[in-house]
Amino acid sequence: MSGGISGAAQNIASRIAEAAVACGRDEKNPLRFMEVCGTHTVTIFRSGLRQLLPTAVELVSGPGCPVCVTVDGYIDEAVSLAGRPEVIIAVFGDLLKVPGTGLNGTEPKNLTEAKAKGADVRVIYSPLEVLDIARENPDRQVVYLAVGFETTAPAAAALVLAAEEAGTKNLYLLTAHKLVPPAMKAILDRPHRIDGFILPGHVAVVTGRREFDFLKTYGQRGVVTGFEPLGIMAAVLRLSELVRDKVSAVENFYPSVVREEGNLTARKVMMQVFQETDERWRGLGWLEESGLSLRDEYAAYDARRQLPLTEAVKESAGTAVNRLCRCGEVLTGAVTPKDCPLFGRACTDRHPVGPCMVSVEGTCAAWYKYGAGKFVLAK
Amino acid sequence: MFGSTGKNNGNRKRFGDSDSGRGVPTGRPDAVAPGRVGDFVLVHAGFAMEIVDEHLALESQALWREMGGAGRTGQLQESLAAEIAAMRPSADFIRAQKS
Repeated sequence: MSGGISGAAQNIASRIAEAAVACGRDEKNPLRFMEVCGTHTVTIFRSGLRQLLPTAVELVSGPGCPVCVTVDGYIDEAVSLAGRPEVIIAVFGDLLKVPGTGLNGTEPKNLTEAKAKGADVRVIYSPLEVLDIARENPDRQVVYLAVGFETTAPAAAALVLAAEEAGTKNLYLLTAHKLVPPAMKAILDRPHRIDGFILPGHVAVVTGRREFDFLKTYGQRGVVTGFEPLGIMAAVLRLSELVRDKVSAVENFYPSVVREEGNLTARKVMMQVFQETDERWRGLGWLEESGLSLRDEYAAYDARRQLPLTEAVKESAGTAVNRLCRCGEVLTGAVTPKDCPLFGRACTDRHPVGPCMVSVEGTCAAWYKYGAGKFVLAK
Repeated sequence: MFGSTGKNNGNRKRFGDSDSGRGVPTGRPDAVAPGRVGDFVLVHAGFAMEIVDEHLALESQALWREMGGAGRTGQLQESLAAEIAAMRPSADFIRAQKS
């Protein structure tokens, strides 16, 4: 490969290698950079960036896949609601096969099983479709599974405002929206070393670059970037240079859509409808003010307040389905998928065990799809 | 839940043209990034999240190439400009959307 984009990527890789050597890093003690976005994870694997990078640099996947960080108990709540004949579940497709606990075999394990048993589960491509479903089914209760980071929360908030304006009375949100900065802080509070962050481009569109300035209080560094392979390579080079120069900084390599203050309209809509709340993350546990719940003014749209769940479902939150699954540790960068005893054996793309293999943005799914056969499985 | 850039071609009208009265348009896919016909928008999960600054997008790509030693002027830059020009709808199309 020479010239054009491939040549540029190889040249950037060479400069990364030079910077890593200047940092005194090598294969045994590499620079460790964490990407905190599932779409970055997929791009890195699909475009072969890991193979292009020098061995003195290691890319680690963080809690950037919204489906993966959603706990089993949330799926139990969704499955329980799906089992009611009057309920229609509206959901993005990547949540369908994520396992819950199944409540000791008394309930379907995931929404796909629930659908097979007759539940009305509908895949949507935009939250606004939920408004149409509610309008077309006035005698049913339509529950939107509101999962995702700062990227999808404004759209969910806009849905609530649209429902209010339209006078829709049969639309509810089962919320599990999460905020990225608190999760990054939780990871930084843990002992494993991270040298810098490839910051999530789409989250930063909403929050703004400034939101990640907290990294400097940790003496850390981050670069916001988009989803073109060359842009990710450029971010890795910049992070390597910042480590080499002993500089703590947060820079923006995605200025075409990421502003300093973010999308103010999106933030306004989001915080008008939601408020920060403690939230449970797979792999990280409960984190203070790391999630979003509906404000009291919008309680009429809150599935938890309007469609009460049984105590058994409430108590199931956070229960592990399979103790061998190390998805939670993969999400925090503590281990890689190859360290999991299930990965590539009991857990494959055809028979996923944990959510990290279920979602296309999951770290295990990316490792399996693009890295199968190129690494040694755990014993 | 992937995002992509796309052209705002005016189809948003079919989602209604309402306004909540609080300065926040609702019930539309551009509720959080109100744009005009002809803008490039970043679309995520069915919503326009932000208006794309074409000039900065070009500048960023040129910078990355420069970091890789490919230079920021010349053929690469011209091909990028041609690519964007090809994606831009014709004046006739925009006129038809506005009418």
